[in-house]
Amino acid sequence: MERNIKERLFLLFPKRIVNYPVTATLLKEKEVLVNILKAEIMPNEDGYMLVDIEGKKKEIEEAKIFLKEKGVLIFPVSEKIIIHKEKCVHCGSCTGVCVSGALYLDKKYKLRFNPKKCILCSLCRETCPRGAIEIIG
Amino acid sequence: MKKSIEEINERIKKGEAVVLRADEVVEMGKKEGFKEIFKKVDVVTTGTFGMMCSSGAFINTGHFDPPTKLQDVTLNDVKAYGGLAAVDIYIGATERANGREDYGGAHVIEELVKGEKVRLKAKSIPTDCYPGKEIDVYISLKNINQAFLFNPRNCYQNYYAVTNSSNELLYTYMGLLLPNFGNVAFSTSGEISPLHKDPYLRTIGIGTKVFLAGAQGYVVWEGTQFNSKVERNKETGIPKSPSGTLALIGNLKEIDPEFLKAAYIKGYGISLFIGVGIPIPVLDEDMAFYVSIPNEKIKTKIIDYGIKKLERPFIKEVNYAQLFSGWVDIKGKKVKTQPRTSIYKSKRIAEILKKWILKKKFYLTEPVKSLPLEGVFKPWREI
Repeated sequence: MERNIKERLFLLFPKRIVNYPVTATLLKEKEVLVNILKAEIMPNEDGYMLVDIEGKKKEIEEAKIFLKEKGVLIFPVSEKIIIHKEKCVHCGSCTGVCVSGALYLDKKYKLRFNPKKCILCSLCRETCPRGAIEIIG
Repeated sequence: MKKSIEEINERIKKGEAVVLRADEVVEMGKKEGFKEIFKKVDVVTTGTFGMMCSSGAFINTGHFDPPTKLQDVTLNDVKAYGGLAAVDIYIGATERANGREDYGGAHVIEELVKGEKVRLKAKSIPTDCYPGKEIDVYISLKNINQAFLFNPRNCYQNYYAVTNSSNELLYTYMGLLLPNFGNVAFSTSGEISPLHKDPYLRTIGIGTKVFLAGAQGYVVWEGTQFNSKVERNKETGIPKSPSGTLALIGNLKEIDPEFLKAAYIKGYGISLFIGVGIPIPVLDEDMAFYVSIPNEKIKTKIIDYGIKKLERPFIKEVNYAQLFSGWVDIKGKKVKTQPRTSIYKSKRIAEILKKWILKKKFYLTEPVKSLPLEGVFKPWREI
């Protein structure tokens, strides 16, 4: 028998779908288990969720298709983030996409990183113009 | 009462000049008013450190033996332009390396500035004057004859803040724009940005000496897409959308690598971070008023990059204090903001320029010619 696997995903819920019970419908319709690790969803705001999704490979893929069809943006989550300070120019580009608030500019407008808040969504790496953010895993 | 640039330079020479950074003078303006600024301050230093795509460098390698014309030229596999005299070439910041997405002209320029070697390859048709067919050598700032930055467009006077109304994630030159108004990206350093402190470009013109990435460079012309005939804030005179631009020149051999950094923007391409600082002389009370204008009174427009047309929809007007606060309100939603210009480096530039002036290493220049205040930026039209 095929074994269950687990995949960690970062889900971005655009404002227009936060009032729709996406996760509940997913659990009802698809054969997967969802463990919510962190979530911030408010009415009339974009929300995000960090989840472990468990099931057979094919079922996980189907669950992802279901989420995409509902308008959820999916980002694979990695294991470790490294900020290469020598490359950073403190432009702040990463701070606006950091939904968890782990990356921020201090009073002197220097970039600071709070690893405790980081949910490893990798959006910062996508937007960094200096290649200063490395994500492993 | 008025001061002239000559008088200010005289005060710099005597060590009497009062020089403040733009952020310091804004604070002073809030407490004491602009009339006091005119009485007390001679020069205000500004700074910006952002990606300026329209940048590049002219290089003259010196002649080879046998003499060879650099016709089809690459520097570390990045195409350079050789359609000039034999060993003159131009390397543009945004040119991509052959077969690579994340390396380009900006990286070549950064490596040269850091003192590294760059591989120059060229092919040409031999002539009696230039019999050589091929060149494959390493160049660095040490062994080339001349190299200077020549940037057709730097230092925008104001720029749009951008957001994304669509349902898709957008990879833009302003960075990643999250769907459904997920964030707002803005550039310019606001109240310390050079052209915000002299809205009608009274003191900045052709020949004005500037801080260009650590070198002492010059304004050589109005920048491309110079567009001064735009809607201005009635109170401050500052344009509400992108307007004035500068073409700048400076010796690559004098540039500080801290203020010139290559950029790779995923989904867009290569660009170059450049630091620019301009001293603004406080010639009269009008100039004192302009230099004291705070972020709260500098406005820009948020436009929507989610609609892919030349005319992007206007969302709302905001000021830089709101943009710097980290949040703006769009249609009742609290939206995160992010700068694209490094304010940390912009302030460092204003501080270095201030120290240069105080140490008499930098004197102010009278513009040789004013920039055209009637300039209009036209879109492409078929003949």
